[in-house]
Amino acid sequence: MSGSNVLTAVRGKESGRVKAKRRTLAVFQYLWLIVICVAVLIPILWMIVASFTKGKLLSGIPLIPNFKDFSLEHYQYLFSYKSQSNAMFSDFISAFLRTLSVAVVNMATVVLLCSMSGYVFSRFRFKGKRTLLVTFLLLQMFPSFMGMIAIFMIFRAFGWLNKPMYLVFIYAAGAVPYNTYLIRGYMRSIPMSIDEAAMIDGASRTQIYFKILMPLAKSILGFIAVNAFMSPWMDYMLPNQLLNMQNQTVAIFLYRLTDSLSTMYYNPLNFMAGALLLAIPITAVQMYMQKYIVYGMAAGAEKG
Amino acid sequence: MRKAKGSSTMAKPGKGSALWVALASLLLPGLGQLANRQRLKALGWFLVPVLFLSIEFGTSQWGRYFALRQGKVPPESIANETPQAGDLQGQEGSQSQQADSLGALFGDTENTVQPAVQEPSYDGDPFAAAADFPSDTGDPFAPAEGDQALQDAANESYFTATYKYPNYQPGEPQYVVRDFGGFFTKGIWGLFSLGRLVIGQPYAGGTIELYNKVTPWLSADNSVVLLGNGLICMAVLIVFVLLWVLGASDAYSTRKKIHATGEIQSFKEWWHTTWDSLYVYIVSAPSFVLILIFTVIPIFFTFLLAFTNYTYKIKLGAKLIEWVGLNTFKYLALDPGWLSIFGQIFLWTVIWAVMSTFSTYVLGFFNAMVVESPNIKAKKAWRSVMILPWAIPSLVSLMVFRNAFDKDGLVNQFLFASGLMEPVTNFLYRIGLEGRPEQPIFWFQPIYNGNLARFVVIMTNLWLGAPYHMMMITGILTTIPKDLYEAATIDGATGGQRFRYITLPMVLSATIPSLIMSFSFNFNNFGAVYFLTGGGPSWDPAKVPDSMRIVGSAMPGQTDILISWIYKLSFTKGFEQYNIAAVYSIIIFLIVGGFSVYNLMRAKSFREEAGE
Repeated sequence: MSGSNVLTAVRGKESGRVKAKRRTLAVFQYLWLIVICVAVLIPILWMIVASFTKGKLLSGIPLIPNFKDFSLEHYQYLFSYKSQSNAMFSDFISAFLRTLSVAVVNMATVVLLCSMSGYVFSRFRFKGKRTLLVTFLLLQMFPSFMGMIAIFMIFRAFGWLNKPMYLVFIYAAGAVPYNTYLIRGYMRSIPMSIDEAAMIDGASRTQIYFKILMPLAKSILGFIAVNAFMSPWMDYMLPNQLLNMQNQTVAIFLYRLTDSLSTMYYNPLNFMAGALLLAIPITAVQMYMQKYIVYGMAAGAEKG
Repeated sequence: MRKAKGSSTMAKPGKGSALWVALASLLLPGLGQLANRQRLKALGWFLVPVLFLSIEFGTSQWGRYFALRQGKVPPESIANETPQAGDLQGQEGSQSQQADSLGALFGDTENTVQPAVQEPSYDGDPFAAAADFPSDTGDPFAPAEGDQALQDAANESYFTATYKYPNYQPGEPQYVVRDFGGFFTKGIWGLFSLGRLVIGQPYAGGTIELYNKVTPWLSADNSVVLLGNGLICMAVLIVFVLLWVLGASDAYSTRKKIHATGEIQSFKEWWHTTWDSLYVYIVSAPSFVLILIFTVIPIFFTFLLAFTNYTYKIKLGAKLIEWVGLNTFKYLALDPGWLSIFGQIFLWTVIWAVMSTFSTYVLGFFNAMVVESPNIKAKKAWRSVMILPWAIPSLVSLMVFRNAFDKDGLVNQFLFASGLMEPVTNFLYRIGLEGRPEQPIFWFQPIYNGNLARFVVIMTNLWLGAPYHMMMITGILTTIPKDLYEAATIDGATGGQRFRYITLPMVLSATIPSLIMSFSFNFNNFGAVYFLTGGGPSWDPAKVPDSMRIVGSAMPGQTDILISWIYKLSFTKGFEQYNIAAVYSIIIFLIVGGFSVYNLMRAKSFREEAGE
């Protein structure tokens, strides 16, 4: 971009020396991009090659793909290994489905809760609003695992240990403060006159929110939804403390495959296959939702 | 609206009477409203103390306690030793001795002979028994489903049928609140005392054991549970106090209004306006409740742990946690071993946060500039590849890198295959990153390679983190008006000048908030360290101070940042140092919290709010 139309306009008058300079610059720029892309792609390629290589040793992975070592055994392991013989799916599949269901529920919960509180904080004046906003901000600075012992106790008291779905409560509680800020910042840019017009037409406050503001805030809600969908996939600590191995999420399953201390499961090549299977859908979602995410990140930075 | 018929219930409406009404409401919510002649409202407020008392009494055994004090309890229902649900029937023998001493306590010495069968409905079914015996919160009258015999028992006086009583021995401590208290009294008792009795102690005519369902007072005190319950109790208590005060202020303002206008607001009107103002609270209540339970209470819990002596040495039930005030803080501040390790880890955490933020920002900026340069074709394709590290879940890529930097991993293999191993290892040795010029290079393990591991952690984070800044800055670059560049070009500015005076200031001012945010994110970037190196390599054992040895395998490694060390301190099985972890948590909280409050205060939207 940076002033490209001017530059094209000026380009006609460029002398030969400037033209040559520009060309060398372009060469260097392309070289740089190639270097960066190679650096980005090599670990990914290595992961792919490893996942199709037989054996269980990292040293057995060829740098250049070698079809003699080709094997699907790691994928077979992922799709067939069951630690309990009566399980319907393999360990990996069931961990994946479990995490998926938590992620979907979490997404719905977080979007609903955050949008409601964001609406309240952007559209109403009430006692304690400022205090609550500052409290929210402080709370989000406290990583959730620091209160882990208390959370563990609460889960035990309610009988929620080893039940992955209840993790949603913790994720949602952690997501509300920051997202409330985001939505509040966004909704303040939607003129109040829209609300007022709807109010005159007899819409209730709840209707105004669901029928008017929510569709208008689609882009920021999209960002929040993607984030909420992602958090259960990436989280290691909460499931590690609150779930047993029969109810693990996919992150725990993968971690165990690379943990050289868990000799039963340690196999980095199995890990590579599992990591690839996990990374493909997640990466696809992230790339697909890119527009929303970039928008949300910028908004987040702006609103603090 | 109706006219106030004078203030018949109060003295003549003088100047001070509003205050009197408020005081009356403080004494008992509803009283002030009643004085204001608002009966329905008074009824509503009166529900507050009713609810409070019913929570307290519904969860307590105070009724039984008073019965015991008044001597209404037949001696046969005094607990003996430690009855198990299963062998209740074989206990008549030992009961007589115990009842003797209790009889002495309550001035009832004649009763030494016991009836042989104390529970007529008992057929030796241990499970039925267990279901019928109340736990400390249970309802003694709740009949087990479909069990006619037990229902009959419940219909009888429960003093004789179902309940056992602590057999307090004279001269021994009696923890009445512990044994009979309800939600509030027991909660507060637990919070302040953190328990009094542990396994094996004799108490109330029995011996304390880990868990006793039949006679709950013979269960050992679990300090952590008491602390947690105490916190929850405090939270509920605060809500009640708020309601109480609200009732008083409502009475006060109503009375003021009556003085001013001579009219009493009708209940309907009041309800209408109140419902209007309550809307925001009702809508956001689910979020608040979730935050309260899963964020606020755990945070306070951690804060409180910093003032206790809770470590792995305390096995709950066998030993009690104690309040030690600021001892842990003092210990950590004065012990040279802990102080020096903390200093080193803190220093590395700051270096890490600064370096990782700075490096990813610079690389992201540079990449964005290159991709957006007019010379580059197929921008979208380049960009899509370059943001891949951002799109791949970081947990996955970190663990792939963990394998790549393994002894047999990608990096060493590549160095060997390309013949670069020798120069690289020599180079790393010469610049001091590697402790010994080895082939292959051990990136994360040996203690002499600490700096190398730190370097690798930062470089890996560069791979992971640069695309984020690239995306942000690309977005900002497109918003810089093009005529700025045009004007600059026409004025003869060189490319460097255009960057220096247009691009850089524009991008910087737009990204400073996100820089601060990513600094505080990296300060607590647990995953980047834990999943890559696991904190390793470990410190040189010779340099670890003796006072640190108590943490055993929770020892920090050379790449550990504060947050990952706290994780180790809290969760290394067998070496948990909860109190120390809590102290460090508070320190992190103060640093990062301060940072983000500063960030918020300078945000435009918040300043507007303040001016509202």
